Amino acid sequence: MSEIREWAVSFIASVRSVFQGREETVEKVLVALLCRGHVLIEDMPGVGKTMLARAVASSVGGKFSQLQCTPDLLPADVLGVSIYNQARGDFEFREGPIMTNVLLVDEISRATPRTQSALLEAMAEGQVSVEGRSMPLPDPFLLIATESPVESEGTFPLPEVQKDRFFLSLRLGYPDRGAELAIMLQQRRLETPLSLVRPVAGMAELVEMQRQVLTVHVSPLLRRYILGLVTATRLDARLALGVSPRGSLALYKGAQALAAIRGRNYAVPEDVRDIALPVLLKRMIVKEDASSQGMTEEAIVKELLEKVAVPPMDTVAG
Amino acid sequence: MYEQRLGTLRSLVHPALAILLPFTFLQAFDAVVRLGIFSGLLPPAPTGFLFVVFLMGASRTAIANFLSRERVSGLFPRLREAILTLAAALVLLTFLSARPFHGDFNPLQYDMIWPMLLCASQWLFTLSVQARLRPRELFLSLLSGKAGHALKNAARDAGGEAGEAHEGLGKLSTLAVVLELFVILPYIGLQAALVIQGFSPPAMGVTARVLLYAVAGVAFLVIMNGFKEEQLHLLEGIAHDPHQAIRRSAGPLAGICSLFLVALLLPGRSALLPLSALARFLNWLAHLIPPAQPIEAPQIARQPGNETGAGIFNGSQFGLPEVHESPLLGQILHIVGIILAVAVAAGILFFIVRPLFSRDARRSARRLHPLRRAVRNVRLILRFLAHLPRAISAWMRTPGKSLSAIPRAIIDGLRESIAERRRAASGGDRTRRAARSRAVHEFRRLARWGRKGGIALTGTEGPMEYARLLAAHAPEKASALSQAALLFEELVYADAPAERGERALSRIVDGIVR
Repeated sequence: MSEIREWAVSFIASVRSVFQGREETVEKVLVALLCRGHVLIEDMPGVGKTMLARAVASSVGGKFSQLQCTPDLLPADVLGVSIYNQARGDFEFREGPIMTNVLLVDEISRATPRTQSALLEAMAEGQVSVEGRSMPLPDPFLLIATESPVESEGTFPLPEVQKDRFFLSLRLGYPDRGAELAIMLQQRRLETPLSLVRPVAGMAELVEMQRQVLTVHVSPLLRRYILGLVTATRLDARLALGVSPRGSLALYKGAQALAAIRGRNYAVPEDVRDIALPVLLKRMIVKEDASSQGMTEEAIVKELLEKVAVPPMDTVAG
Repeated sequence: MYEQRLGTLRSLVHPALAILLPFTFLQAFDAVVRLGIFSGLLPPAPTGFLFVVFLMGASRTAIANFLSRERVSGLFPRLREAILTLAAALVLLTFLSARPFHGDFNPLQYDMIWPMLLCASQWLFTLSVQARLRPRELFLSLLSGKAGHALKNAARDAGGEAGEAHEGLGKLSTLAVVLELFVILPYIGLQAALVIQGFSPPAMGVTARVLLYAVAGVAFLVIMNGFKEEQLHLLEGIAHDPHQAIRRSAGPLAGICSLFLVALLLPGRSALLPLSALARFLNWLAHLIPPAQPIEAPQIARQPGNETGAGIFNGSQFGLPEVHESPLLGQILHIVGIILAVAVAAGILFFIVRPLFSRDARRSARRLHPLRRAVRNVRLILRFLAHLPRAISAWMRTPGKSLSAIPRAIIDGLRESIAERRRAASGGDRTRRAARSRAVHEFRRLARWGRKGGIALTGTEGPMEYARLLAAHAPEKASALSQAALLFEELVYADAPAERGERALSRIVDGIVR
């Protein structure tokens, strides 16, 4: 796992050379990449969501496409469409922007539910079906969707059950003073800062690392802990919907990836606790009455992390 | 921590260490081997062959940095590199031997064997030293650009890497000491044998080459200790201070230089400053003070052919008066001189040999038991041969797959079988459960100690999280707490934990709670 560790350090350094946010944010995106999952970034405009996605794509060295969602965006605009070629006399399939390694879907909530479904189905299946023909998506494939919480007019917010399909969701927040100053200084050059980002891995290397992450050992004690956390969400009276088995699987894989990034071939409770919030955040629904009292998903997850015992630390504590 | 310093370490300091330690050892080892009984068997090497040996080390470091940048790793690239560089070295040595200029282009000559062995050794040693220094580079890269509190937290988060780096530095220190013994002890033994047999002593060039490695080895140990100390400071959030490093190094370097001078001054068949000259000097000093009775120059055993005691520093040359010499004072001076020389030699030997008896060295020595290593290597080769037909048949069954799938399949198979072997060696579930319960017992002791200090374990925090809470209140034990948490995690959550890890955990907890 030391190779993954070294690669992770280079990847994070490469992304952070242009994205002035927190290191933990980039680490979480890397976890999603290694787990073959997808990322939902929900935050205010102008905090660097697009910059982050572009930097990740540049660092991975794969093909990158960006999709700006608008209400008139059709599924064919995303997946691809057959166009009649007059010279040849037949239909020619033109691939959509989804046929790429890293796809940035900006403002996913502005696309219609039909287009959102097409995207999410492709995410889940790993392939697209157009006119009866199935085409596999490139491997690896990472979808980074962004959503702004402030604009609600003319948008179609993703339902919570659809957000469950994303491996993890992140909130970037405003950068601190030092980071914001660095952003200003970056703009003194004519060329975009992204032009300085070089790939730190090839696609074949990334696929191999994704395979190695699956071999990270998760002990029965840790599996019990993951189930304990997830079960606690299902039994919590403040939640209308607890975390699904897809969520527990995401937590399991996320812990494996985080352990590999940290150079270990076994996961530890800290890996689970560090990835719990972004993985579980969008997989729960708070009840109306709890929500009106100011209770949020984030607060509940943090509370559960303080309440659920970590085996065998509960035995140690006595 | 500055990126510039990390760049200097990666591109200059570490490669220099990786080249110079093996090179100084090999050139001294070559001198000692030629001095000994092998001198008759070894033909003279081509002029300048040591330069080729040095180039082997330099090329290894340059290619290693290149491969690291290109993210190329594994056995086959290194094997290819070794074959190509050794072939280049053979060609270079052949030209240095001047035989091609006489029409003989055959590189496979008897006098090429020893220089090629030295070249291969240089390559292997450089590879090994660099591999041991890589964890340190990784650890420092994680701290780059951080300072103060952020540095401290980052250093503690990188506790695993810190441990690996520390282990690597310990192994290098042990290597330097072992190589010193491989050179100095045979040299002393051979010199004594030559003197006893009545042969002429070795030329100054041989002694100089041995002393060069002795000095280089000691300097290397000083540098390794400096690295370890720097690491401890980083764990406390104290960044590297180059001026302090220079101040700290100046003392040991001055000591090494003075030791070098003492070594040159030691009496011998043709010593620069024999003890008799020292005695004459003391006599001259005593002459300035009116003596109660005449004093006598010490009775130094005269070398055959030198009965008059004439040496480089002959007293009569400086107009020193002849004095009546007291046998008692002379004997006392003689004994004091010998005691001083023995004490200095013992001190040097103790300083060199001491790391061999450290806990790290003992653990390494147990793991490096020759028979166990030999059996392990044979098993690895047999497993490789067992996986080869399976990998080839799998490749043949899958059309369109590239040839590189074969070595990949072999490596995967080896990894799985090694992991299985480790699981079996750890005795399966029952042994693991026993190790886990012992680890829990030790961590419970730590929790009791923490509770006394006001930091109770609630059972909802992870081991490392709890260790950080304790470290915040007892910063002087931060490093030990981090190690204890890491070891506990490995014993409880890993698939194949370290052998006897619970003993190591017990020792660390003992150190914390007492």
